[in-house]
Amino acid sequence: MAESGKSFLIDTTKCFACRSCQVACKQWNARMADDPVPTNRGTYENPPDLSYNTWVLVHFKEAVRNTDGALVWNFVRNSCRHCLDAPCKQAAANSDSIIIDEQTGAVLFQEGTSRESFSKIRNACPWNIPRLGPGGQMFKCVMCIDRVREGMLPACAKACPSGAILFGDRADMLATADARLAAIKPDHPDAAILDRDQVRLLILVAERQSLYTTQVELTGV
Amino acid sequence: MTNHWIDIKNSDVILIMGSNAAENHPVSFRWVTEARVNGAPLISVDPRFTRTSSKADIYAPLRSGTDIAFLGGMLKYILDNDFIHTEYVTEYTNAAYLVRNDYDFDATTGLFSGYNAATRKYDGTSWNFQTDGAGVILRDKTLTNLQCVYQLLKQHYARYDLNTVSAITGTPVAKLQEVYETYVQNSYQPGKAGTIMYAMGWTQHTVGAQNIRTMSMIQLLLGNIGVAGGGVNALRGESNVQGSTDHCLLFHILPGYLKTPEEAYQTLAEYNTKWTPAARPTPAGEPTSANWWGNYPKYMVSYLKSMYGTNATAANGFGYDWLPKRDQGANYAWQPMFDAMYNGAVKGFFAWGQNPANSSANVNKVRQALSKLDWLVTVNIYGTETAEFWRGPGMDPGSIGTEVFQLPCAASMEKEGSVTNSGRWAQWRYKAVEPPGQAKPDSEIMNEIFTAVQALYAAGGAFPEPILNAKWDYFTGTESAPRLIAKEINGYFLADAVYGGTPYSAGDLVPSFAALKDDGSTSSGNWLYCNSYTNHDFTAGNKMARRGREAAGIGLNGEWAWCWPVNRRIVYNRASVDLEGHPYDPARPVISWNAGLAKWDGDVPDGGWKPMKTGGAWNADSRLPFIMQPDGVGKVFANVTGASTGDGPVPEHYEPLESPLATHPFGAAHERINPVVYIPPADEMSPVAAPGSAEYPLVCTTYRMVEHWQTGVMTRWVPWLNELQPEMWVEMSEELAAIKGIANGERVRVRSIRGEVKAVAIVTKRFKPFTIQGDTVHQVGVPWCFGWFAPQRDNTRTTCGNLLTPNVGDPNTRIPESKAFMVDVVKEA
Repeated sequence: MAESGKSFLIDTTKCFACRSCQVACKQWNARMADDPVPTNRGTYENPPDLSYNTWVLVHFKEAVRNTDGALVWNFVRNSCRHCLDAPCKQAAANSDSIIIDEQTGAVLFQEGTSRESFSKIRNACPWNIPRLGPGGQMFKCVMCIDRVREGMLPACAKACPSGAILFGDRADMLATADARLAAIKPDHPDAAILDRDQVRLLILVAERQSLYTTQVELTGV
Repeated sequence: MTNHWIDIKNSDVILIMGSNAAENHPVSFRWVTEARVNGAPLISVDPRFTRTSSKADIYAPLRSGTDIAFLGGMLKYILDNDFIHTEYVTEYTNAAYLVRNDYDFDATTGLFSGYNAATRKYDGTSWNFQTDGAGVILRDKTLTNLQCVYQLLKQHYARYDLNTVSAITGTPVAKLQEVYETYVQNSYQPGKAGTIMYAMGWTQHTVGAQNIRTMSMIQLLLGNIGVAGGGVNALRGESNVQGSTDHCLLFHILPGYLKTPEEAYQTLAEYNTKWTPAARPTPAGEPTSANWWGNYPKYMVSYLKSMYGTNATAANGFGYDWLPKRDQGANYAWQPMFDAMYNGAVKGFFAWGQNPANSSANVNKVRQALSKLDWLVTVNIYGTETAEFWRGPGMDPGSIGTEVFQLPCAASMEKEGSVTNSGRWAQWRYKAVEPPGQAKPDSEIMNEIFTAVQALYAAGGAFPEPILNAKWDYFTGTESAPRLIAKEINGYFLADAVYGGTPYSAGDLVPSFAALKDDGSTSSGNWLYCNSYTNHDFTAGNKMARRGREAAGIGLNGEWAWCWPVNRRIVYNRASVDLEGHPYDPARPVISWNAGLAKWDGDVPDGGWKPMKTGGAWNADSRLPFIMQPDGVGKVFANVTGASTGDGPVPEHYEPLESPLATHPFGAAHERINPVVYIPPADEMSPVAAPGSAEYPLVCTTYRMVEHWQTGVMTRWVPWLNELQPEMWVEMSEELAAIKGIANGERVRVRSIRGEVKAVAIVTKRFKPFTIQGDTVHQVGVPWCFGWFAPQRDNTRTTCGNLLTPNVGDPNTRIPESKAFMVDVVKEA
């Protein structure tokens, strides 16, 4: 079970935060910009948070690495982890509100989430992903299930120019992730695949997590 | 590029300098990523730590405008230690040539021999080589003669020691060493290759051409030209700017990099004599230069036949009289053009697929210049600050007499045609959808205007011949206009002919520019693109439409689309083999001599002649590898063949026009700025800050961002992109912000002596103060993609980065010095 279905590999060593993923998700899923008159908050990072409209958000972090004093600028994309054993589904009162797609393992919010307790569902998520839309329905990444069922890549993976987002059968993604981790580990002792056995959105980091963002929790532990 | 995008994966070390490649070429950057995965170190040199720097193994900061100092230090490292590819340098470059004894460089003044201070021009006669009685250049292949180029370079760059370079650039000494060692040690030996990827960070300076010259010299000394993973690689900044450059939409060149005629050359014969170089003799029995520009008249006459068709005959110089002649020495580049417009000398203007009200340097002046026009035509897919200039910030529409016509045009997927990328690959594209409303492809708009002009001239007018005699049969509807035009660009046999043993009929497409003639029997709209469309049948003939992928190899992909010249993917590839034709890098051969078949395997060779030697003996019928140069070798020393020229023969550091330093770091007697840069007459719209000005103490640079495109005409209307980057900002160091009391996200104003912008402060670790000659110098940076029109239509927004930039530029190209000028930043309140 843990090796079936689909997975993403987010290889942060190849990401330079073009945010094609963030935009492609909005374009394919017909999401709006969050703020009709957006402003700059002193950062490239925008919008400030995931939302009913924003299902993928890229975080930026400048830091001085304390191992060698080098300046780093790291990027990581935050979005639903599509857990193998989704705590949001466990917290739902009705088993039809949140379903797990059998083929892919995608965790999908249904219309029934509008009759669930938002705070309960949200608090169940270790990554604070669920967001509320008008009418009470909850929203997050849908693994572009409509595309995947037609044999296409999710919009973000299709749009990514750098190979930082891969998508495929979980066994292949795990093998690719493990190989990439092994390749970078000698030079990057803090490298890790976050929550490897718990999630379908595998995030490969080269450094410790605080060098990627302090806005959100990257691991579920 | 001498190489191409995919070839980057073959590099053993990559230097990205004067470019933020990850930001601005995110898709092509995958080839850099592939090289990195294969173990090649990536070096990013930039005033600011960028998205590219975030992926680099080494990041080195430098003050904007000090690239020649930085690279001069690398040259010193190479020359002091003789870290060169010796055979390559000795045989394929002019490093062994003896320079004339009257050549001189004065280290105190920073001037080469032959300078005229009044005209700010050089007479480069002394920058030439010693020859024997037969005109053969004298050389010392041991590279020890003190008058040989190699030794003169050692003397010239001896001053660029680590401490001196560090004091100019602000780069820490240890970081300079790390960059020099990493780049040179990974690329100078035969079989290793380093590549340079550069862009506006090098070109947009008063020493822009010299920046690229410096790196070209480095690449020649290291043997990195003509080889896989090497080259001098310009990253073009717009999807088809390479196409526009090749078709020479610039005042001084005709398609295929021919020269526009000047007043002094009144006949075709005089013009051809002026521009057709003669090859110099080489030692008896040795290969000569191919001197490919010796074919110049064939390309010019073939171009004229494409321009004027049957009206061009030998009797009338093939219509040469009908080409406009530039006033001798006149410069009609972008800056002088807007100066002339500002002074009322230009009455009408087509702003075609551009937004000069935001894209030019010093846009306050440009916007005022537009207000002097009688008429302006903008052709674009969206409204722009240029089309709306008359109601922009500070404008009084009631007092502006310019009549503005806005013509909507088709977007790139609404029409068919070719797009040429940085790697010289011309790739054919198809029409996917109809243009909306009344929008038309640019070619149709041009056709409607030109045929209307022809009708007017048919009824009378001064000098109607150029208009009425033009060959203009591309819109007959027999085939799509882009295809007919592409065929014309390739060229036709106009009479029956035999080429390469094959007979051709009049009306057949020419297979190669080697078949072009100067007798009017061939035509070609652009000799460089000859070979791109060789059969009337689209599928058989339009090579730009091919999509064959290479199964294995170094990424040449010779069956995918078509590149110039004649589909040669890596130019100067005869320098990738030794004198006997064996690849210097057997693991990644570009070409290789197949003695059995007496031909070259691999890429299209840069001339099919046999190797320069066979069994140790010279082949007199072979050719030197740098076929476009009269001497046939790479120019480590830029000698001249005419009386006057632009910059000096070897690069020297000069300060930007606006600089934090009052005098040149080499000394007060040293020319502070490029001695041949054109200083336009001062006017109220183009002031320049005094060097070391206390009022404008911060170095400023401009750059693009991945989220917006150029001046933002297309992207600021897109809510998803606008959400990513909503408004103008200025990036500054934490140290500078603390001094100014500016908090991250605070609204501030950035001002230069020419203008002021409102911006949000982004306080960042990615700028750090520089220590320049012992003093602290701060640098900031701004984008130029924001403006008042889209999407807010609010003319109180003064957010265009080019309100700040100076309109003085490189003496060769006149590209403005947008990358290094002086500003101050003040709090909004």
